[in-house]
Amino acid sequence: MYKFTIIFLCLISVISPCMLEAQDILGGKLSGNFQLDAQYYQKDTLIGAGDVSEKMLSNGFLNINYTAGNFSAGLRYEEYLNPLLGIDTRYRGTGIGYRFASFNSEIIEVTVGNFYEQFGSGMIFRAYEDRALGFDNSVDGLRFKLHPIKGVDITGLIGNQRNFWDKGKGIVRGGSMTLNLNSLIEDFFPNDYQFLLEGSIMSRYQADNQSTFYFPENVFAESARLNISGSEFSFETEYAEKNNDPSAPNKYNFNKGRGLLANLSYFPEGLGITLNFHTIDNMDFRSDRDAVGNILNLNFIPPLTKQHIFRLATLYPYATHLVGEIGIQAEVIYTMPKEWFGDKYGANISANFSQVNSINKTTKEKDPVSGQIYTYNSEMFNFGDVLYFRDMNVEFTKKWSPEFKSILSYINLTYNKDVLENEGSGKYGMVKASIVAGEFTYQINRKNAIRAELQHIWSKQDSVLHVPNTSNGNWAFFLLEYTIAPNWFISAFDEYNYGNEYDDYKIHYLSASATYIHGTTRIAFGYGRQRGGILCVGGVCRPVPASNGFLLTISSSF
Amino acid sequence: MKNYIKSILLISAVLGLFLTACDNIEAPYKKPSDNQIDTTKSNARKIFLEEFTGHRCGNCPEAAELAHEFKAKYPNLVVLAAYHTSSLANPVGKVYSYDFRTPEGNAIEQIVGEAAHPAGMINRVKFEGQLVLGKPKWQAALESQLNKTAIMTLKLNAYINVYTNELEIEVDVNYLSAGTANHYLAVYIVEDSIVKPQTDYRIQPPASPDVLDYVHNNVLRTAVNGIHGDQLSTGIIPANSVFNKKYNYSIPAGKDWRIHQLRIIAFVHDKDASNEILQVEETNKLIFMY
Repeated sequence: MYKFTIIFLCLISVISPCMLEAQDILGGKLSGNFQLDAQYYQKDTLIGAGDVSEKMLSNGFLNINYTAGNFSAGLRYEEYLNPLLGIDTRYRGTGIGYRFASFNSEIIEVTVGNFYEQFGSGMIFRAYEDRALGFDNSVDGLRFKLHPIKGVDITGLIGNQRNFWDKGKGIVRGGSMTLNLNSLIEDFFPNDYQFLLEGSIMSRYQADNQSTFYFPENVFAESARLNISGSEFSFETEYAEKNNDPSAPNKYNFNKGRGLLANLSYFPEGLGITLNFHTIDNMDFRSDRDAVGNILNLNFIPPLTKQHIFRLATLYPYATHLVGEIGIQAEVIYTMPKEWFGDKYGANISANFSQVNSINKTTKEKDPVSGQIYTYNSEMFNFGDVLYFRDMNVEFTKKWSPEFKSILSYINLTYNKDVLENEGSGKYGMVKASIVAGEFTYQINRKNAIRAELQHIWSKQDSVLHVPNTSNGNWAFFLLEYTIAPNWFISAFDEYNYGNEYDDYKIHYLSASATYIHGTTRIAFGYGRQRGGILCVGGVCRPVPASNGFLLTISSSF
Repeated sequence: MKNYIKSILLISAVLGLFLTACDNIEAPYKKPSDNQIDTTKSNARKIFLEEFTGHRCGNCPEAAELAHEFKAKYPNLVVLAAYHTSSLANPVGKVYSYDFRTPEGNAIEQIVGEAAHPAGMINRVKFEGQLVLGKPKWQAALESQLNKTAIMTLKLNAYINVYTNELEIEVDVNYLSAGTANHYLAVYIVEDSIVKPQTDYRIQPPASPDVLDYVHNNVLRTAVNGIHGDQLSTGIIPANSVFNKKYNYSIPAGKDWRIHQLRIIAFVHDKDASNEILQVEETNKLIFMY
């Protein structure tokens, strides 16, 4: 059966470029995109990849959008038969996961059905999707956007969040008003600077139908944001508060939530300096108080750490600890003058530092018998005793000749695996890792290029427990990619955990793939081992189990 | 400017409406019927009350309340599990469509013999010649088990991967005095706060005895290593022996169990001998792994 499926998928890949072309229908425009990810799994006990009964799993979707004048409508058909390993199995099945209809006029835009939205920087509300993570917290309901006068934008919404093929129990309702002060009060502010003010509110209703606690059925959150930007700098700050919201992620405590973030950037010519700060206390906000994991999240606070692209650095990614953390990040990017090198290219150097700690909490009210903490005092502006994450890295990018360029990077990480993966229960200890990585690209001629990546990680964890696992100790990584522009990309890489504490787990993860691109259509076919670990996209993470097998990806748009 | 002021006023009015949409909860935070206790402090011998119940058993809610009262009266000493068994647990009609039954609960009842619900076992020790006891005998049977000397202590840790629903359960059995080859360690999963209908005969006509939003607690979901569990040793177990047992369990796809309401119960019993439960322990909640 799976052979038939693979043949069928290959056939689709051949005919899909012909099928998917933009269309004008009934005076409107039809557009969309399509993607299929399919993997054929092989058992590989060495890396912990178990037997997959279906042999082949796949995720696919087709977005279709229709726009005619002020009217637009769309839907997304989704297929998870069955979901790829690492994607939540509750997606199993097929159906319309997203559909909407919308009209807009000069002063109002109304959407019914599913929609994505964000208030401010997302501290109290962000509905979005990421298909690679299997994450979708769209709201199904009604949204309006008002533009009553120039410089004023108002958004209001109500609905339930998507929960796989179902909806969350909570009703979410909220609104946001953005004031562009330059437009609103003309001639008052200097033209070189833009002033933006935003106020947002969000409320969740969920019935209290359990016997343990007196849960608040209505939970309210609010935030205020100020953004000032000029030609060489920008400053953004947002403060948010959330009412008592006992939930599974915060262990059902009744404290209020608070959060403050501030971002300052200074970017004169040839230089970029960024300073970021945030402090968060009890800000995990969901439309179901009992939800955990990447489910029914109402808000999103991006991590204050660099999102590394070198593969070995992704062994220890960071995601914001919404129940409480304080963090700071500083980054300097400097364009080194050509004269320094005596060539016509110059170079770029960047240095980045980030550190995230706990915030100290002292118990105020607790249950005398069970010890359950109900309320606490927190030191929101002091770095707490527990280090969660620290990253010091430097990157040097240089073009040496018309044909050759390189990127060299050094990364030093401290990763509190117990806190970040295990709620602080002593199991793994603190990971200390140093990574050296280099990327070298040589343009052979106008069409052909070769790229190599060399990476190495020295890693130690100070746990007293030493449970055999497939990701500890030192790793080496080598990648070679050959490009025949504009259609072909062929690559192979090997990740080797040669320093694993256990000889049985000193494993090579060899993988190879070929990608063909034609217009908007991309077809990729690969084979190899994929290590288990945590996959993060934009600061949202999910664990990916180890796997071995063939991988096929087809995507296109019209 | 007039439009601007109007907009601000309008939004302020809407904002005001939203501000009313929040509930501030102050102490007490716990509802009176709460039954959670700290299960980690005492090294005393604990008591396991296994209750046979059913959602159409009209006398069972009163028995469940009595069981919870024992927990409140003897903090850190009583562990509860509810087995939904017999025809009173069968799914019937639209109201009672939920199926609480488990193969494990049914198997336990088959072994000990069916009794009129509500019924229960106290440490699987016979009281006045009976193993499965009616509610009126629970108090006296339970008191007869108090202040017994513990042969071993149990320490429990349970982790759950919130993405994959894979449980990792660690049980440390620490023998304070010698044990035998008949000692078996069993690990059960129970769930709290399941809101489903329940018949309650305490509700008098003309009101319906069908309580549609009844809160079911301690509901047995499965036995991780079988209803009898694993043999700890094939020979005599010397005093001061320590067993570190580890169990992995994947919640099967399609199950509606809510991981934040799951708890683990572990107990050692004297299988094929007295059948007595020698020690029992439970987790308060699972540790979430991300």
